[in-house]
Amino acid sequence: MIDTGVLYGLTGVALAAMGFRATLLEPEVIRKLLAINIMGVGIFLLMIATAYTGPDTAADPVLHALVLTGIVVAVSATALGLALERRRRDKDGS
Amino acid sequence: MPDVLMLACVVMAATLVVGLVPMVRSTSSVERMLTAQLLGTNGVGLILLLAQILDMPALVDVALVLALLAVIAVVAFTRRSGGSERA
Amino acid sequence: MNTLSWSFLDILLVIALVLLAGAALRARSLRQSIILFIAFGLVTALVWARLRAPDVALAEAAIGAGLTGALLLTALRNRPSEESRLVSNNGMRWGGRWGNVAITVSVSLVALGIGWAVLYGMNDTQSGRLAGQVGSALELSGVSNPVTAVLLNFRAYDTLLELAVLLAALLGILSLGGGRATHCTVDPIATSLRGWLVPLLILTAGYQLWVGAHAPGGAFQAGALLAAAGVVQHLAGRAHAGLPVGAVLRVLMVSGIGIFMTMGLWTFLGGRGFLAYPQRWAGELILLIELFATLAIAVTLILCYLGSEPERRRITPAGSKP
Repeated sequence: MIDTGVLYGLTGVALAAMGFRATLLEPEVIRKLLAINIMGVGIFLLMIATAYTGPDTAADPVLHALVLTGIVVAVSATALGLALERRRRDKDGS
Repeated sequence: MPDVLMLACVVMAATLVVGLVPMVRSTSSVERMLTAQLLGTNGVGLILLLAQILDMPALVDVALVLALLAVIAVVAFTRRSGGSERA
Repeated sequence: MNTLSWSFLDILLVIALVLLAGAALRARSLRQSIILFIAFGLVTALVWARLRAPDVALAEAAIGAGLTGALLLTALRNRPSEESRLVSNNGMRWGGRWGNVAITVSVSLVALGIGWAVLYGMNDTQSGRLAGQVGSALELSGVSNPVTAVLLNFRAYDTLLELAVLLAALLGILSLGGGRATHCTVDPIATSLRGWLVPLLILTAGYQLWVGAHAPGGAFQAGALLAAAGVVQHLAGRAHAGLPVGAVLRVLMVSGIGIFMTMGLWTFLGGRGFLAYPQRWAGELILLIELFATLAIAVTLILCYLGSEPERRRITPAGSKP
């Protein structure tokens, strides 16, 4: 049927594109951060799909390790973004 | 036997997608949060089935973590929307 | 029959992913966006499980479906409610409608290009080469879980630098100030939940840390689970989220990098090269590094959530946190 790696890889590209577009166009900061996260997941998905070799064989651990690192960095970056936005609001007094 | 599990897996994934309809269309936050929890339970079941099919016992741990952590989002949600918040 | 079922499953999961991502980016209110994003994180964890990436699925289940959601929902708390409903427009805007069209078109073109590359490049078997190298060197690493071997032995540099990135983000957040460590309200649901959820989370974190040597799990997952325990503490009205205060906290913050650097210098001065563990002790050393990395990651994530250090005068009661 459909090649699993290609299907998920293309989905990853689509998610990354959706996230990137919204990152550029979205005016609201929190939703911009959501968009960046979705873009990140798209890229992770492409990497994990590349690592996948079939339902019965072990996948490539190097890419898994990279994505694992990426997830933790993404959450800390999101927290930093939220802190910046909170600070901006405090300063604007709104 | 794997065929039966596989079929169960597909059915659960289908219910997951059906569950997305109220998730995406609803206008009420509470309804969405409850649907998200339903998806969480569904996901735990799906992962347990996958653990059997793929013969990866480690996925049972994933289901455990998912079940434990799903609660936190609800608590954060209810705390936020307490009081006179719009439902 | 089986391949057909797999294809069905894959297509359903892909539909769920794209639907939720689109809805999260489009929903009318921010709060609904965030809830949709939490559900998106959940489906993502399912996809990692399906693609045989249990280590990643564990981290996603803890972080994507749990911590990020709590982080975002709590960030909305400080806003007036009508504002969380309607999207404000005080952010940056790009040149009107034509700007929108131009960006959409160019992003689509780039995506099509990459998509084409995926379509024709995916069947290349070159990606198997690194996996083969990991497999053949696994015996030398001191652990039997290949992902842990890559993270803590073969590519330990990356993990060291990642801890540095985490610390940098944390320092940025702390220097911005104005967090919510000081004020927090008591919530009855969270308080009753805390009694059993926190011990379970700590237990699971310990299990993850230990099991990481030979099965999926490890420092990142354990750290995320411990951090979740801290978040529950805070939601239940503990302003310090179970963290110690003052110098102890700061030592914990840098303990991950500290132990890594100590090990690196030790092996370096011993003439082996930076972070080249002696093979006999590799397993024990990795566990030691992972223990401190877990604590550092947990403390960092909790502080990311709080946004500031807990106040000094609140002395930790019999803390369940390190």
